[in-house]
Amino acid sequence: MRAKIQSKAVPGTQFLDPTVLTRIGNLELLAGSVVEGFISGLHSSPFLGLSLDFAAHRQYMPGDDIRNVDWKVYARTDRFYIKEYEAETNANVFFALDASRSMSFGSRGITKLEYAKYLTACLAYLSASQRDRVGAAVFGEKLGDYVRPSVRNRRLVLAALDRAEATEAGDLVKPLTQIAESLVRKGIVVLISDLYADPGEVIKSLGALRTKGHDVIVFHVLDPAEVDFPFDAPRSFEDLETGERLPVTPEDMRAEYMELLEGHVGDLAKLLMDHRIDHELVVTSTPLDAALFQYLSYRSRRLKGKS
Amino acid sequence: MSFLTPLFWAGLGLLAIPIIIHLTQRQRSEVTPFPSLMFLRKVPFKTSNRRRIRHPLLFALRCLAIALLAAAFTRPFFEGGATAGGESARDVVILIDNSASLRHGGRWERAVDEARRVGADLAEGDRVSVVTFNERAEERLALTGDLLTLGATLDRLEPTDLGTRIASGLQLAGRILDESERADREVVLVTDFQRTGWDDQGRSRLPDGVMLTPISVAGEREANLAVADARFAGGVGGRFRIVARVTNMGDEPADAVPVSLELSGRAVATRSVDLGSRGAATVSFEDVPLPEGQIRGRISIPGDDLAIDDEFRFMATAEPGLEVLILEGARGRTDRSLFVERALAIGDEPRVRPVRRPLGQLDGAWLASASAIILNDANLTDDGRASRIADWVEGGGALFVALGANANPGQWATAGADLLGGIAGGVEDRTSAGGVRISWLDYDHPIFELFATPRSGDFSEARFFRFRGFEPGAEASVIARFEGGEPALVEHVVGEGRVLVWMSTLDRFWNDLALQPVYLPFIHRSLLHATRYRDPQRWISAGDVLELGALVGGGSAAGAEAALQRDWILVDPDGGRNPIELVDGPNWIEFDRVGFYQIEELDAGTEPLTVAVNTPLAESDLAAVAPERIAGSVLGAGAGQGTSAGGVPAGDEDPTRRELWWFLLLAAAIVLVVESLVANRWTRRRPTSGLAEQS
Repeated sequence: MRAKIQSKAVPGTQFLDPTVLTRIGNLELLAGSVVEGFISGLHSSPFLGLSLDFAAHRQYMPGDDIRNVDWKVYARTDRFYIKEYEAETNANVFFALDASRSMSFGSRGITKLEYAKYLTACLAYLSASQRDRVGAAVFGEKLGDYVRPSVRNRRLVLAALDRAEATEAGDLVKPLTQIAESLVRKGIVVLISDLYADPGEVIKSLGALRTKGHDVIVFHVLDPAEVDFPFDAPRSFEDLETGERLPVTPEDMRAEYMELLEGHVGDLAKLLMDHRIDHELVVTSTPLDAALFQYLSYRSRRLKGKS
Repeated sequence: MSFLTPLFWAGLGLLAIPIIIHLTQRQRSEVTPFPSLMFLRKVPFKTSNRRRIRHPLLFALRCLAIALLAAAFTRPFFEGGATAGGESARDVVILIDNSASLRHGGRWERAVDEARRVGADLAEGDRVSVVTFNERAEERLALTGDLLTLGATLDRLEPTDLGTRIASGLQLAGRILDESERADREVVLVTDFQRTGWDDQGRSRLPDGVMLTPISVAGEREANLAVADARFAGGVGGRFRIVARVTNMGDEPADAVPVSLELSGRAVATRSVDLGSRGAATVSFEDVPLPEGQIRGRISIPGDDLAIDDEFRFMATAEPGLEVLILEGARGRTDRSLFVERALAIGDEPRVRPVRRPLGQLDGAWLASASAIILNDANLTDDGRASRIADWVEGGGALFVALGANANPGQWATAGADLLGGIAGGVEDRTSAGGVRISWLDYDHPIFELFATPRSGDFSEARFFRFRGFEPGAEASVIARFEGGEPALVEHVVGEGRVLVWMSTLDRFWNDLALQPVYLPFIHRSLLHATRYRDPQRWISAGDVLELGALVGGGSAAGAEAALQRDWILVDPDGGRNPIELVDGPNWIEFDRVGFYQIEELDAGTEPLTVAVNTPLAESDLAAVAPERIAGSVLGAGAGQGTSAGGVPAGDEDPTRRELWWFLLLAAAIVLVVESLVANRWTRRRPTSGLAEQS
C-alpha cells in the first residue's frame, strides 16, 4: 500500500501557507506558532482524544509507587487511585534531516530544505511538548550537526536545523548508519529527505535503524515542479547534486518522466511498508498541518500498540 | 484578376520563418536547476523531434493565415469592362517634359525613346495621346490608335528654353482622360522630375481610376555649372561694376572655373572662381567702361552638359541716374538742406545727384535736366516761377514740397498753391507738449510699404515740435498723419507729374526725423515714387512676357499710345523677323527663347530695342523630386506606393473594380481564431501527475 498524505487540512484546523512561514525568521517561534495553533485546532476537532494532557486513573494495585496516588481523589472518594501520565510513555524521537544540494530546489518561493526544516522544527516542538526526548542530525554526504536526544535539547535541535544548508552532495547509507550507531535507546527516527536514491539503497540505509529496533517514519519531500514537471520550452536541466547538464525537451518527456517518478515513489512506499516503515509523501505546497497530523496519528498508533 | 500592390506577394516568404526557426533552433542555452536528473536521464532523448512538425494542423493553419494576409495586402481585384479578349482597351497619355533642363546630356533623347517604347507596348485597340509640358502644357496629339501618327509626332518634338511646371502637364492629361469613356486609362509621365518644377501643393488631381506611370530620364549625380545672375552698380562716368553669380549644382567641387565678360562681342575680362559642391560664388568685374547706347553683354563659363545656362545675357545700357534740384528761398537757415542733400547722395541704385539752387534764380535749364525738385522751405510767391514749375510738373516732373517756417503758402502765387492739392494753414506749435509723433502711415502706399513689416523702421520715434496745418483737397490723398490726425504727408497728382507735400522741415529745426534711421529710406522712397522710377530691366527669363507699349513708349502713356500707332517687327535670336500684330488693349509679347530679341519699327531708321533673354534660373537646379511624392499628391492618399515599379491608379473609387482584400482579411481572421481554439485545446491536454493528485 502506498503511503499517502491527505490533501486537505485536518478539519477544524487552519494553518499558514508554507511560503508565508518563510517570512518568520525565528525557527522556534515558527514551530511554536504552528504547533500551538495545531494543538488548539485539535481541541475543537473530532480528534480530541489525542490530547497530550490526557491522564487516566486506575485503582491502586499492590506494587504501585505510592507517590503516584492521587490524594485529592482519595479525599473525595476514600479510595486509592493512581494517576497515569502520558509522560510515563516518553520516547526518544530523533530527526534525520537530509540537507543535500537537491533539497535546495524550490519552485514556489520555498525550497524543499526550508520546508523540511519547518516540518522538522514543528515535529521537534510537538515532541518536546509531549516530554519526548528529541534529538536531531543534519546530513548531506556525511553527518553534520548532531544533537543527541534529550528532554532539554529542543532549542539545540532547532538551532541545528536553523544552521542547516544544502551544500553537500547526497548520501543516505553512511550518515544513517552513523546515526543508527549513535542511538543507544530505541525510539522513533524520523527521516526527512527527497530520497533521490535507488529504493534498495534507501532500504539498506534504513535497515540499520530497523535492526536496532527503532521505529522509522520517512517524510518524502518533493517540490510541485518535481511532481508536475510543468516545463514546456526546450532547455538544459542541471543536476543540483552533480552539476551535470542535460538538454531536454520537457514537452516530449513529461509523460515518461512522471511515469518514472510515480514508479519510484510507488516502489519506495512498497519496500518501506514491507519493512514496517511509514512513508509519507509531502509536497511543499501543502500546509504543515497535514504532516503534523500524520505524525501524531502514527505516534498514537505506536503508543496504543505498545500499551 | 490583378493586384494593386503585387510586391506584397513577397510576404509569402514569411512562411519560411516558422519552419526555419523550428528546424534550426538549438536547445536553448537556458539552464534550469533541477534536484536530480536520475529520471530524466532514463528518458530516451530524440533529437529527431526537432525535425518533425508536432502539430501539422496548427502549422497548416498558421501558414494559411500568413498566406491570406499576404494576399490581402497585394489588394487583388477584378477589373470590370474587359473586352472579349480578356483585356480592356486603354487610353494612354504620354506626358513629355520639354523644358530647358531636358537639354542636359542625353535626357531629351531618353525621353523620346521612352515615349516610343510606350507606343510600342500599346495593344490593339489602345489609344494614345501626346502632351508636352514646360511652364505650360500643350496637346501635341489627340487620342488616336494610329501609331504612325504617334511616331511622326514624337519626331517633331524638341526641347524648349522654358521652365518646368509638372502640374500643368498633369492637369491637361487629366482633362484629356476625364473625357475618355474607357475604364483603363493611364498617364505616362516622362520627365527629369526637377524639384523646382513641382510646387503643386495638392491642387492637381488625376481623375479616379487613372493610372500614373512615372518614368525618370534623369541620370545619377549629374553636375551642372550655371551663370545665375548679374548685378550692376555705379554708372558714374560711364563706368560700371558688374557682379556675376555662378552656381555649381553638382556634388563635386569645381576649381578655377574661368568666367568671361563680353561686351558688344568683344572680350573684356576673365576671372577665375572656385565653386564648392552645391555652392555658389560671385565674380566681380570692376570699373567696366560702357559706351552710350544699347550694349549687348554676356557672362559665360565653359560649356557643360547643360550649355543653355552657361551663358548669361544682359543689356549693359548706361543709366544716367536722377538729378534732384533742391530749391531754397532767400530767407532762412543756410544749412536747411544739409540732411536731405546728404541723404540723397548716398546709394547708387539708382545714383542720385542732388543740386542745391536758390529759388529766386530758377532757370529753365535747371528744370530740363532735373528729375525731381525739392522745394525746401521756400516761399513760392513769384507767379512766373510758380507757373514754370507747375508746367514742369504737369509734364511729368516730380515735386517734393517741405513746408517750414519760411514757406507760407498763403502768400504763394496761385499756380504754386494749386500744386499743393489743398490749403495750407498756419504753424502748429507742439513744443509745450513735447512734440507729437506720426501715428498713422498708409503702408499700402509705395513710399511706406517698405516699412510695413515689423522691425522695418519706426516713424513713431520721431518727434515733431512744429508743423503746418493742411486742409487736403478732393484730389489729394493723405498718406501719413500726426497723432492729432493732422496730415503729415500728402500726395497730389498734377497732370503727368506727382507732388508730395511734407508739413514740416527736412532738417532738425521743427522735428528730429533727420536723426532717425528711417529718414534716409523715407527720402529715397519719396523721390523714387515721385519720379516714377523703375529699375532698368537689363534681362528677362525665357517665358516672360512684356507689353509692347511699355517697351517702346518711352515710359509715358502718351508715348505708348503713339508708338502703337506704328508697325513693329520682332526679330528673334535666330534673326527671324516676325511682324507684331497689334490689338486693342495690351499687346503682350512672349519671349520664349534664350538670346537677344530686337523690336524694330517697320521702315524706320531708329535704333531697335534689344531684350536679353536668359534661361529660367530654376532650370539650372537639376535636383529631383521623388516620383512617389508626385504620385501621392495627384493620386490622393493611400495610392502613392510602388510608383517606380509600375502604374498606380488614382483613387479607390473605380466602380468597375471588385476588390477582394476585405474578404481575405476576414478569412485570415477566422483562420487565426480557429488556430487559437485548437492551440488552446492542445495545451490543456498536458498530462498531470498522479502524485500531484495525491498531495
